[in-house]
Amino acid sequence: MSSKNAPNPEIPAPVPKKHPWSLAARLTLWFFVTSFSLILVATGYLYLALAKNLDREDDHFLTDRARGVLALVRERPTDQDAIRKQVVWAGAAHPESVIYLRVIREDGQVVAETSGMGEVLPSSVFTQTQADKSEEFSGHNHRSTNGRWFRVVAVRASIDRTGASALVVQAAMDRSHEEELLEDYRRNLWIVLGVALIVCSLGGYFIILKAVRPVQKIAATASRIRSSTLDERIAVDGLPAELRILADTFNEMLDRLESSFDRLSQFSADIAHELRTPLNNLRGEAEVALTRPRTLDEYRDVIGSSLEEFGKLSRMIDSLLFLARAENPATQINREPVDVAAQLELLREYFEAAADEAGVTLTMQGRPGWMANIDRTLFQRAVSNLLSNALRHTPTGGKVEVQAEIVADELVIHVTDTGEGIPATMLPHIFDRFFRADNSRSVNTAGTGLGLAIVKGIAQLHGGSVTVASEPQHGTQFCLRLGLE
Amino acid sequence: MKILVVEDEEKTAAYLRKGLTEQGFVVDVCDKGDDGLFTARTAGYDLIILDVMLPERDGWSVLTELRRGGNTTPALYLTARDTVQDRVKGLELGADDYLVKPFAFSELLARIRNILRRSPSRHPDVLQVGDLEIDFIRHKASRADQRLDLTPKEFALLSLLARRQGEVLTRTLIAEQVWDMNFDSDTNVVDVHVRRLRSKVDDPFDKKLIHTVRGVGYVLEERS
Repeated sequence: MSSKNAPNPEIPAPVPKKHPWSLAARLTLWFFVTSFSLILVATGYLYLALAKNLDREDDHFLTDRARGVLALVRERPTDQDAIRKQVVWAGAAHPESVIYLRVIREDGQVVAETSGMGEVLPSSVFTQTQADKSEEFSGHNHRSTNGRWFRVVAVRASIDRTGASALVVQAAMDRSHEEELLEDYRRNLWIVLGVALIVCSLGGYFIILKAVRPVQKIAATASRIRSSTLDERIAVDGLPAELRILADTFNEMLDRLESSFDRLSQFSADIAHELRTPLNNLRGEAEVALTRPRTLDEYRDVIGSSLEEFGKLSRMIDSLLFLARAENPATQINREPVDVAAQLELLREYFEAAADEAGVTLTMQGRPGWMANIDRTLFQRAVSNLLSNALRHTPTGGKVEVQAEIVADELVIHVTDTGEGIPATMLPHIFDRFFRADNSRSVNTAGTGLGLAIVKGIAQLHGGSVTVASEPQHGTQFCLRLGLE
Repeated sequence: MKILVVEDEEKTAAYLRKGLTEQGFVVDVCDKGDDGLFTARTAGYDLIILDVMLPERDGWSVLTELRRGGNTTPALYLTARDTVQDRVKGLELGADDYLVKPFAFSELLARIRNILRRSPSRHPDVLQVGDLEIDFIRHKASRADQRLDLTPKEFALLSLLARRQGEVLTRTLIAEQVWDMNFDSDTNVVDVHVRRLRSKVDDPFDKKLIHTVRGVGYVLEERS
């Protein structure tokens, strides 16, 4: 098989990774383009203005001379000598600049001309002849055969009233020194522009480097921050306003990170502490049991007690896992239409005996038939935790009331007790994990210290919230809001 | 009743074998996924208890292969993974139940019995334990011919204990079956209910029927 006919697909060249220009390079380029073009335009304008000015001055001078000749011709048309004298010796009156004048008739016959003009500026040079009407005649530049620059003007004017005969006056002046001046000026301009090129690019680069430096400083600080140096902050003093916003935002983020991190370490320490107590019980009881032979009942007792501790540990781990999951926004809950009043009735029956024994009246209020789209198990768990918390803190003769209502797109549950209340200083912490209002309380009666944290987790999973208001000695009211999606 | 346990954790396998054997089951243990699959195919078991994380072949795969081969032996997963997705996956693969470690042995036992009992067996209309008699049709209970005055929930609790007589029921299972509360909690609410039931069923009589199994739960049985 011939390889000629084989398709030869072009292997695409690897696309070179595009490195976006650095901010400093971009700004420098812009700065350079802007400032350099400004200088370019300014110098160009000045140059053109100068050249124009020189031209105008020359034209003015030539106009005067031509008018002088014309006036003479008009006043004394026959005095050929006088005309010749003025024209031929024109140069003599102005030794500082070489002037040429020529008077010709319309048929081209020369009436008079400055001596030597014929060789330098023949009549054909004066291409634009103007009528003697405008205030000032505008000439043009011409380079003569001997390499010198001239300003030339030609004017045609009638010399009698009838306008039958007319004369053309051609005037020219050597302007080579002006051209030299402009040449000089141009040379200087190039030097100025060259210097501007260097100053604009380098100056721009340094200015912008200085402006960008705070950004680099912020980046350097950010890259230094580790979990061990979370207390480091970006120095805001002296930063420009725009960057101050960035630095402030960044510092606020660090504040939040630091507080989360602190809470996390506190939490780990709490877990370790909470695990230590049941483990210690287990170990101690087992060791003591094994120190000597015991009766079957004693062994049974030890194993039973161990089982209780195991149960506690397992429930604690379950609760912690639940809380970890509740904090993950991706966690899905199992929503279904739930008859709120029916669930509350179930809960009432469930807690009735415990409330009875504690001498507390338990009432539930919820309109029958109300359906809410929530996770049934989580709802039970949240209300149950709030109820057992309320019962635990309400003395004999007290009341615990649960009210349910649907407000807009939320199911709102109020759990009100007439208990001992919670001191204001503790209110902000009661939904924290492992927080117990009364530290002296034994673990058995106060639960694991996770109950209210779980309520908060359940509220979050439903896109809702839980709040608390309390008046010491009068009672506490929890308000649980569950979003109905 | 033959049960196959596929579990690679030695201690877990050992106590499962011991506990289940003592409950009258015939127990085989495999510690690798492939062995488990092979054994499950060759010998007829009434139930397979499967760990998910296994060497060689994981529990999901064992069950998938078994079901693909047309084997319909009931299966129960034991696993430390308890996300909802894991549960759903286990049940979708054709498992009959799913138990998260750590679990109470009594809970496992209850679930095993539940699976094996699933083949319809009618509950008797009247149940007798010692001198306790429960009439499920009339919702009446009596002891030594004395009518017991029970609330509906107390009757439900007593019925549950009586139907599963000899079986230790955990507080979680009781809360789930009687009050439809489907979560673990630290509250002593169930204990209070049982205490109240006892005050009516056991306290007036010499012979006690409801017993506490410390650290586990409650059992109703006639003890000599």
